[in-house]
Amino acid sequence: MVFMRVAISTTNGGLDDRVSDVFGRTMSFTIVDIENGEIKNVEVVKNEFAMRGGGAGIAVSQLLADKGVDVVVTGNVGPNAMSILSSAGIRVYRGSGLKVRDAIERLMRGELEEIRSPGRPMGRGRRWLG
Amino acid sequence: MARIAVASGKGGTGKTTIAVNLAYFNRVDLFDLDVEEPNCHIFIKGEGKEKVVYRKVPSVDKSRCDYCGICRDVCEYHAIVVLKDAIYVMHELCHSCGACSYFCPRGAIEEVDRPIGRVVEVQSEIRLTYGVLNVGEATPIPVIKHVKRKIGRDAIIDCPPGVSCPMVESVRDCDYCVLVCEPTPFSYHDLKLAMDALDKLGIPYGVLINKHGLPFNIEEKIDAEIVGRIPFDRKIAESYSKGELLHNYAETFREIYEVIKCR
Repeated sequence: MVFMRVAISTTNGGLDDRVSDVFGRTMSFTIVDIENGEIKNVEVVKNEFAMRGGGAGIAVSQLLADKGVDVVVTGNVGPNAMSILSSAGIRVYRGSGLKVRDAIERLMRGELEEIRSPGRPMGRGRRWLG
Repeated sequence: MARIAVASGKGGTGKTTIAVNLAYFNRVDLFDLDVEEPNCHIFIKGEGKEKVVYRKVPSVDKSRCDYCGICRDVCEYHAIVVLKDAIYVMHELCHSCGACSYFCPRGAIEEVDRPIGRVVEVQSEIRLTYGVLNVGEATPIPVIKHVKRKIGRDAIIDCPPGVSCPMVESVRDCDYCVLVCEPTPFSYHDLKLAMDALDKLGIPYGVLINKHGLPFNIEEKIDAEIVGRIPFDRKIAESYSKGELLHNYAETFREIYEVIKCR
């Protein structure tokens, strides 16, 4: 039996939602269990870190590692989150804009691009005022 | 005898111009607490004496750690990540509260010094003390606190923009605050935020209108004492861009200081 747990960054969550572009501050994660190529279970987890101060990407990475996620599908991942995800052995794929259902199909067919290097950090370090 | 903070809310209204010239023409010690991008030293030139600033961050003894995750759970800032058989500390997110080492049941966490910036003292015609935060650090507060220790009974304090923690820490122990604004809707909006913050902190303040003469009538909208006006004058911007003091306005800055030092 081949089992894989996939976490997809989403807004409201569910198979008909679309993959959101942000990781740490996405509104929810749709966590899909795949067994032998079939969707067995779908769980939507609200991202309570979305509106928190700093370190959302880190907290979310920790959460997904604790949940035993194997693969993440999202848009961009910051440097801190990326290093935690890779330490936890979680692979990250780009799927922003796709429907969750389609993203999973493409993932299983090996058509999604793997993200190996972090994008721009979203949280700390921004400063608008001079 | 007064410690006078110069703040604004909106950035770019002229805090540094006002602070530097107020200090220089009245021979008062100057402190630059905008440690993320200090610039008073461009105007008050001289050889600087430097001291490194450290703060405490956790260091994990991996031979003792059993990855129980308590340190992660007590960290308010997600600065520690614990996986099944690995632990990571995100130093730049750590606020040095010490909770992780306090609560670690196995005594595996020790607090160690990490350099985060420096304090520089310049003795010129006046004394300037400023902080510099290292690039990539999340919080300027520890560096601001180190600079503040050098403040005596009389001081002009250049504060960071905004009204969040760095500004609050910078104005907190002053006797009076000058809020620099310019006659624009944006500056007016942020001025109100700054006034709210100072009201809550119980710090008396007055408003200084910079770039006076711009068409937006800010004075009729604000309910605070106006302590001075600096005209909208292209020559001021030119001097500023060359790192020069405003000798043509020396008298204005002396008058303003006379008004605010006894508030």
